Amino acid sequence: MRKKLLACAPSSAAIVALALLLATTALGQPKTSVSRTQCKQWDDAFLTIFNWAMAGALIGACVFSLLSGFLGKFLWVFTTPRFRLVVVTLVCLLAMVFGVALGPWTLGLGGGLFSGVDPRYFDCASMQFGAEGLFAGQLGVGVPAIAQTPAMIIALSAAALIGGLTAWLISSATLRFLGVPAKVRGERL
Amino acid sequence: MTYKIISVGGTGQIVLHYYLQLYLLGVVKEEFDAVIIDSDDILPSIQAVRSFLAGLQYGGQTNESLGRAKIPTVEALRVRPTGGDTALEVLTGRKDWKRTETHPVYAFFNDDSLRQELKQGLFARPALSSVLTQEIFQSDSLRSSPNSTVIIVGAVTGGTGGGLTAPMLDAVRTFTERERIENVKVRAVLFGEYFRPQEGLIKDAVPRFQSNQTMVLRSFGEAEAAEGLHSYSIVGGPGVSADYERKTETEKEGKNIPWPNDEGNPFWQGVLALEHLLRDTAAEKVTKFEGREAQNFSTYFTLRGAELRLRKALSMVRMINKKGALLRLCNDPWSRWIWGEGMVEIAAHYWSIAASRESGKEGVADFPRELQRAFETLWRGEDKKLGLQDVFPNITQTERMRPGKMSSVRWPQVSEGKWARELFDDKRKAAQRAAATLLFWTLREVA
Repeated sequence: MRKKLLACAPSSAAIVALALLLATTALGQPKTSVSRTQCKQWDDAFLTIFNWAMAGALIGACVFSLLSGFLGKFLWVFTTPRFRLVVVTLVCLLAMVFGVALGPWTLGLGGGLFSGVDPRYFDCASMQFGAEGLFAGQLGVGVPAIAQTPAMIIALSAAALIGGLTAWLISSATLRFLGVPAKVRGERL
Repeated sequence: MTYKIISVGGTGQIVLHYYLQLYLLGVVKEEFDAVIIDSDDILPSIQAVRSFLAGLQYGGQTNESLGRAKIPTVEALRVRPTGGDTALEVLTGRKDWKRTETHPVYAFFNDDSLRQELKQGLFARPALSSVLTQEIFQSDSLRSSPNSTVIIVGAVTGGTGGGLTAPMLDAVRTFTERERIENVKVRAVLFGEYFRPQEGLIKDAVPRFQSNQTMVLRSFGEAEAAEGLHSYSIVGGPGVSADYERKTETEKEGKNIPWPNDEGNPFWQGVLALEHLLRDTAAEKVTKFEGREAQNFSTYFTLRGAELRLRKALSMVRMINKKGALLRLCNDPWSRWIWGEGMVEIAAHYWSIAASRESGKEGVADFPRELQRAFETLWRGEDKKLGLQDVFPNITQTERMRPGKMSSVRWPQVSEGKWARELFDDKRKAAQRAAATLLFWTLREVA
């Protein structure tokens, strides 16, 4: 397990590096005629998606990790409680990072999840339009969300990890009530 | 109805070796008691199964396991030479006997026969078996119970089988009549010529085997002992081409002995005959000896079907070992869903027993690890002791077994008041018996 986690480390570093590169690329986009109002509107839409993604990463990692035991009946790897928690948490983390934080580059703007964000939002990256910043202005006030990709990756990863950790705590607690140990009766037998 | 199998000699042991495997795989359904009578060592594979079955003991009654009122027993009656290593030493009481001296034993046996080492068998000299011991014929193991079927399995061509099969039949009949035990059917699976003797091992092997066969079959047909024989089956025999090649060294090693390649294999035929004669309740006894031979067997199982069971059971047990599944079972809140209620109940029950023997749950927190370790030891063996994986043949083709298959096993119900305290000294013993129970039911029931 430890080896597997260590093996993930380079890929995590690669994601951050990629994010920085993409953010730089976004900042360097040729400017076209985009109004501040439009930028504000698209930034807010993108922030809304990010906020939902945060909740999704947290709750999804927790709930899916707990429910993944269902797959234990069909797949041997899912009969290991800790392993399946780690796997599901990582899947949630990667889904949110690639689907939301890196979504503008991996999925593209203007359609699907990002239908409310125009492709020209990239042009807003270096503009000053009174961006709200992440977490209702707690992080990077005035900086457009699209220019805060590294922070978004870290935030989404943290949310997924907290979700996974919560699942592990719940799983450990329920083992005492639902698992084999719950049936062990000790000296009273 | 109870069943007793008396396996005589090396051939009897090999048939029992396969029959025990079929029982462990759930192909053979009924419980039975087995008695081995041989001048040679008991096959290591049979010893391993006997030890495994003993580990299933759960209740205070003899051979009472969890969910089974009676599990098979395997008892060995070794026909040992007493007072010497050769027949000459046994009969004369002296080691330094010179050929030039005279003794009544030379009226019955020649010098070659008398000077044979008896540790590893009787080398196709049936007459020697009768001079070795008479004690086995008085053994309680030969006593049958009311409403039972007793089957004697052995080759009439060899030394031990040829010499002891007829006296054994007579001994069973004597017990039954003397003690007025009712409704006992005595049957026999007799192996005639069925294999090509290894060259150089026994001098003039073919004519000697044929002579032994003639002697025993004729005595069966004529002797009073045969009166008690309800029915019988002959594998091989006069006029049948005996081209099967026995690998006696592999058999004696008793490790991963391959299964027969085809249904015509003499040992497989012996197993089928054994199952048929055990389960056949319809056949009436015929007065004429020749008419008692069972020829049309009911097919209770096939070789292909048994092989599929073997692959499935072994594949599942391998996965349980490889994945440390019992450890996972004990540490998973989803265990009931994945492994099923029955398996959880059994693990928890034995864990509870361990806790009650170790003054509480705190002292047995490592029970899951003990359980997994015990399961692996039972399967793989330890030191020179064979594990159950050595009993079964090596399989090259495995079946894909999902964990959920375990939940379809018909696990036995735990019965809290029935466990015998003296069998569970500590948590280790509890883990060993739990592992044996889980392995037993997995092998028999997983499909």
